[in-house]
Amino acid sequence: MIVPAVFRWILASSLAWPLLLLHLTLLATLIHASGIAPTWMEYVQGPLSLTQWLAWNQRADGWNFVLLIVGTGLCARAAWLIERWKRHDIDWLRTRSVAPLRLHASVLLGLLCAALIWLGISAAVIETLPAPQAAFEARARVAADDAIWVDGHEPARVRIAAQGQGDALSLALIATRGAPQVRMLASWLDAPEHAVLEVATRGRLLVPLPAEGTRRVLDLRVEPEHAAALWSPMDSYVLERSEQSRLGAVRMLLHGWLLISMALCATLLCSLWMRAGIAIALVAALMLAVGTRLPLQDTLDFLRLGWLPRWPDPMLIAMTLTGCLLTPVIAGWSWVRVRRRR
Amino acid sequence: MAYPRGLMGSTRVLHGVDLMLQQGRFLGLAGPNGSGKSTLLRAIAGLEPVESGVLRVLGGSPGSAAVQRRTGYLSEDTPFPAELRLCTMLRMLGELAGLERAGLDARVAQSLSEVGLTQHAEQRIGRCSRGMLRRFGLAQAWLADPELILLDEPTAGLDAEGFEVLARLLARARAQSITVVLASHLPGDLLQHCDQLAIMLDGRIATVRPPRELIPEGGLLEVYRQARGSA
Repeated sequence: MIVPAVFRWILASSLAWPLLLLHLTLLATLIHASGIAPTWMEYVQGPLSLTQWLAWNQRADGWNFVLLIVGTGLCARAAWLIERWKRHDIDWLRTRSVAPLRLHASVLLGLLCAALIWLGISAAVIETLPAPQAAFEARARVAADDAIWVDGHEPARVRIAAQGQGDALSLALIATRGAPQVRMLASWLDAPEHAVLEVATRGRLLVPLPAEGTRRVLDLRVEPEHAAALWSPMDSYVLERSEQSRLGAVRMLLHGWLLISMALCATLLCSLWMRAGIAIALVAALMLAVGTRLPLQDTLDFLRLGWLPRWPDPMLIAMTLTGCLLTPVIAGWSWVRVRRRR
Repeated sequence: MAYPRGLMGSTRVLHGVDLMLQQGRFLGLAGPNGSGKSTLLRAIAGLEPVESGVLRVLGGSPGSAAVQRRTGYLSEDTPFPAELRLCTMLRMLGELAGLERAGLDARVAQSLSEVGLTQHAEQRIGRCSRGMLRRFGLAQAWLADPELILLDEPTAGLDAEGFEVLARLLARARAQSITVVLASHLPGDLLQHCDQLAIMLDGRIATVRPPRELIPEGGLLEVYRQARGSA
């Protein structure tokens, strides 16, 4: 099916030493980064200590760097390669009876493997960052219709219709007005579990979930009396205790690989019909536009919060793999047309 | 032969090309820039689609795998991947040509030796001089023992040793009854190596004759003037 020689060439050239050097330099800088100065707002975020938050944030930033460098590098490689081939630079291959389908399959496979190797190196390096144990894994979002206003005068009573089993609730609260330091309290109506947090602007309350069968009605309060806070159910999750923090790097690797795969497929197809620079710009714009809607965004947020990232959605994996299978077919078919139009 | 050119319609690049070449013969192609020499070679190599007419190469269609496997082609420029080493590139081309893996390394070494690049085998293509690239181009054209060899300006950028390498390769090709089509602007190349010389003007073949009859003292320029005049 594939042309092993072309595949090996693309793979080797995509792992070239300048990219390796750049990549490792960035990672090294990241590991020794001392300039990550948290603002006082960040310091008070959630149940993490400052050290923990720094450690997790470093990991999330590390992945951001890696995805940016590896993704951009490989997409640029794909685009420039196709652009050169649209001129006569591919004659040495075409006179060897390499069918366009096999050619594009080899190129895409080479780039996908290069991405996997790069992300593997990154996962190994990021794992060496000092990291506390990931205590939780996000299981599901808390289902609620709207944000709830919690006034200092009277507690807000909320029925939590969380899907799935879990060990704790992470509630995102934003203090909107009142004292410099707002005390937020959450307690179950029918269970002794409760949580307290003091924040200046916003924070996360980590409330242990009561035993199964107990009514899940939560009382939310803020102190002092003239303070107020907003509870955002969209950013609130049911958490489950997890002891497998090392799995986080593997899950991040998979998320990153899926994203880069999608970008590579789009770049290869776009490059056939437009100049390399325009194709890269278009794919970058597309990725930015849909980036916040991709699961990777949530995954990075989870990492920042010290939670174990989730496995990628099977549907996303299936869609990406389908895209990877279809891209060489479409590219091979388009290639003939592009050559004729040239 | 015509190329579609977007909304502006098609441009006829080659027309009125009527040519038959027997096995083991060497045909020279000469003509001013833009006369269609390279395009004709690319069409024979199966790199350009033929819109009309019939083009048969080695008894088959020029784009077919069977024919391409028996054809060696040296293009006008040398757009091989700059990051690969000469030996790696040749090995890869050998694999693509379907050569046996067992003897591939020996074949690669032999090819590089034939063109005088043995000591540069580990050098990256991007670091090679133009003359070295030309020699490398000759090595890859001869790599899979083709029956037809297409050479587009093979002496461009070659040094004196390179000329000797080419002469040696062509002599061997003649001994093995390999058919060669050679496009060049140098009368010396055409006189030395070719049995027949086709003069191309504006995408058509103006005349085909033995080079010694065709190339007078005035060189190729005089040939082009005469061909234009008779047309």
